[in-house]
Amino acid sequence: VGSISARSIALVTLVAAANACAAKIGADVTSPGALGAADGGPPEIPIHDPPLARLNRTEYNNTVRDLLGDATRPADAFPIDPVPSIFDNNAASQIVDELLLEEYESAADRLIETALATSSPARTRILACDLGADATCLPRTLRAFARRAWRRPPTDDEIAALAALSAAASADGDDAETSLKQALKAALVSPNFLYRVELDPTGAAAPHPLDDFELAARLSYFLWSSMPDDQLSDRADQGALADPATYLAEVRRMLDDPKAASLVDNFGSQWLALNKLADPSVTVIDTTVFPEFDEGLRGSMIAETRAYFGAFLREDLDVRDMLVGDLGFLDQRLAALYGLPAPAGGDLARIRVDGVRRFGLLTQASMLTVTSQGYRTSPTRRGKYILARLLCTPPPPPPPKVPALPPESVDPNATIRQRMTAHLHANACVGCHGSMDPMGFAMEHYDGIGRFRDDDEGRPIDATGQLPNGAKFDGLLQLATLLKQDPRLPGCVAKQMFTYALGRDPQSDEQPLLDGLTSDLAASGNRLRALVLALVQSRAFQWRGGMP
Amino acid sequence: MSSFAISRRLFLGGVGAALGLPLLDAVAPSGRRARAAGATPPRRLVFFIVSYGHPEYTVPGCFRPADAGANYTLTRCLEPLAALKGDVSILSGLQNWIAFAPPGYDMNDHPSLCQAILTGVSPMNPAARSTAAISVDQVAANYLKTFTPGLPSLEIGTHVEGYVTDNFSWRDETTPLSRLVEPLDAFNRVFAGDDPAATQAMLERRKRRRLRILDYAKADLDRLQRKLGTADRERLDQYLTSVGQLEDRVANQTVSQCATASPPGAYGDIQEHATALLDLIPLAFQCDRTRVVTFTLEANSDNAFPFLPAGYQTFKHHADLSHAGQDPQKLQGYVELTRWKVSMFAHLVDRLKQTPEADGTGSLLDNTAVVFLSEMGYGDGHIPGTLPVILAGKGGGAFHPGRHLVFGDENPYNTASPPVTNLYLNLLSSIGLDVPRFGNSVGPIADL
Repeated sequence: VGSISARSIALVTLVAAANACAAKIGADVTSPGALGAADGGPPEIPIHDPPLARLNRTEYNNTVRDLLGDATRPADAFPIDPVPSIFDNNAASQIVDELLLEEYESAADRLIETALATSSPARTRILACDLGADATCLPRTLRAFARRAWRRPPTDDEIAALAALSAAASADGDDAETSLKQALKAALVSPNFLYRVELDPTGAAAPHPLDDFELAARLSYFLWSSMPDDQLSDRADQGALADPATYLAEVRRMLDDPKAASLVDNFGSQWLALNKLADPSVTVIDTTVFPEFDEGLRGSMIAETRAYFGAFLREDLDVRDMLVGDLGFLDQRLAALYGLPAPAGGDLARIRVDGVRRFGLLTQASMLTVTSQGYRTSPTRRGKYILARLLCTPPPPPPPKVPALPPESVDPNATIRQRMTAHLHANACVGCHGSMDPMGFAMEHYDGIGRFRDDDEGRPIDATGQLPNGAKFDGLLQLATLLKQDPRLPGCVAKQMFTYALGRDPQSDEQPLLDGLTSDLAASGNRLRALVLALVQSRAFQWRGGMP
Repeated sequence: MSSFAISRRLFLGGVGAALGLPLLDAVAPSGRRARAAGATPPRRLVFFIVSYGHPEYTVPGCFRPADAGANYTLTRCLEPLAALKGDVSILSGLQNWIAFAPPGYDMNDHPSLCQAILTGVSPMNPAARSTAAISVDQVAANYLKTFTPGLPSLEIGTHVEGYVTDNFSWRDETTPLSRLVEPLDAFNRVFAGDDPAATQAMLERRKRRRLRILDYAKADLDRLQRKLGTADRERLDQYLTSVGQLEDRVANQTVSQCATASPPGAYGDIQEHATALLDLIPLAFQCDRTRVVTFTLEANSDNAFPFLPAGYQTFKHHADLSHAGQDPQKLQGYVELTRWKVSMFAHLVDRLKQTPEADGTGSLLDNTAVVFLSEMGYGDGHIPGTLPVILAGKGGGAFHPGRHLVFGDENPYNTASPPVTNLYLNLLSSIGLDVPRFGNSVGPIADL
């Protein structure tokens, strides 16, 4: 009985999953603004508060770099941050346990000992007075440190508590500086440092704007993945961020700062899966099939897409041109892979791509490799990359208890496409694979490490296909051109940026807000800078909903 | 001592009541139990967890021996145990179908299966990280912590998937335990505070410094809690709990009189990584630093294994091997990978067998139970039936290894086979903790 009922349940689940997938992917896309208010004024969009977020590993590393001048990346040894979908700053998934707390404790110990060493450049900034000669030195030192570490002015009670810790250490026989160091370490184990605390005024159940310190922190962790710098902190101290002109000037300044590279290294790298390519245990290449591949080539692939996304961000290019455009980057290794002349000197250089074989993100070796199988291409993974990362319509995970394809359907001599077509003949599979696989088939002229190929080991390549909406394509350029015009693309860019900026998934009732961001993005000619500016001025970014 | 007065929540009360378990007793062994728990040499448990089951359902005979009893023939996957055949028993046919969440929960199978394998309780509300159950390793840790308060249990593994429900060990119904991945970190955790050069007074002073900081953090947290909304306050409870636990451990840490072990060095591939972690276990046991270890080998990873035989080296653990479908090359790759997992288990068992007890009476393996298990049996189907289970060690005389024991048939969909939680009753009993039920257990296995 158990066996039969389990199988029946499995089949029901399977069919339901397949239908769910078809509905999700096949749904028409609403045009921007279509979900707005029916008549008159703007829709009332509820404010959702991000769950209390702790610093993730990157943020911790960057924060201690800026706070203490310590570039040793201590958080690399911390437990990995949860990645529920694409980004590792999702507050709702974060946990703290004793293991992590002990890491915090020992990192604080090492960091403060290093920062206060006599030769440390950070020492004079932290300890600018004589603890022995001046009774005000200790509280002043603690106040200045806590102001920076906690991203807001500490209260008198809080300084008293830190000073009491230092006094207890002195009473236990520690000298003045050893006692101070214990208080400084404590400030780094404090929840005020480890969490990005946002408070609601007492009794405030109503939506209200963030205070300047909270807003500055949201801004700096979004744009820099780090703490506010002195200038931004000064603006917050002055209460100047409430002034829209000052606020926007700060945002522009921060975007032009080298620390905004975190938008490339963090947001861009995770969005475009470069972090997965960079992990050699996740993206493993069979070098008997691809003897050209080595760690150097892996690095070149990452560098290409990193420079590419960086250019779109810094130069404020039309983000849709990432699908089809003439911008490219090339170094000696990639030139050999792509069959192009190497740039002078061999280092990564900006080039104009041919627009035939190479014309954007989907023709870059990073994307083509990270979605492959290590020894062959994977049309399914390539299609899934587009659906999940570029169109924000991820297929659901494969249904559990999926019956395997019957063995006779697998012919080892068939092309990948012929083999995978079995997916499309099985009712249970076609719902999802019918969307993913055809897009991947269009990319079959690019092998498992992104080389162009005329045929698949002598077998002809059929790169034709059709999208669920009926649009037909022959080859990747035609597919990429369709995707470039797909209205889901700018909406998805907005959604990904929102998710990263706020460390939370947008809620269903926030669709009008996403639509608004998408409109702003479109109005700017699809420039990422405009999206960032619209996002940081949105109520979702600047306000809290209030304590429940 | 007021600086580390313990104000942490008492986890066991509620859970013990919910499960009908006399778990509060577990906090303080007494009477006959105290004799077993406090036995010399100590009793210990190791949970050795691999993910995605085995390929037995699609490649029959690759794992499960055809014959039962003492004279069974080792299968391809089990061959690495050849030299240890008398030290292990193969337990076939156990299941953990309780893992599947009640209908209506929209969740991936993997978290349910992982959360449930050591709890024997269906995950009730994964979004809130509530499995409503403490895991069996933590029950054992709570029971034995009287003897190793500095480190009641050690959770280590070669891989951590970046997702919150990738957890096997649960301290209570809402607190999953992270695992350490770096061998050096694990070494430091086991041997924390060891400093042969320091005097007792210096060590005491270091301890007081740490406790002052933790005490401050708790007070700081209390100040903050009062200003937060309900949801954020609950999130900070995790932090408060963690501070309490760390205080407890620091306050109880002792310095080893045991021969100083040298820290592990750098490792290369996954095999070296796993070996470095596994080799810490006999060290920790010999110095009696902890008595409970949960080790996960590539749990939930999608890594490839370049050291497998040619032809299988780029296959990814999850996408290609566990979901091999009917692809003969991948299926054979999965057999080879499973064989490798068993070989790593064999490495640990052998190390425990080769390491004498500190008092010279026999080997660590004589007084330890090491269980190989997975959150599922038929990996491609995510089916928690016909789990791969291997029990090694004598558990202080509780077990008589060297046999293939058959408890259920070869059908992974058979939900009527005995639950794996029955085995947990035997494991707990071997350390001196007799409980009538754990999770969905029916009763202990009669002859192990």
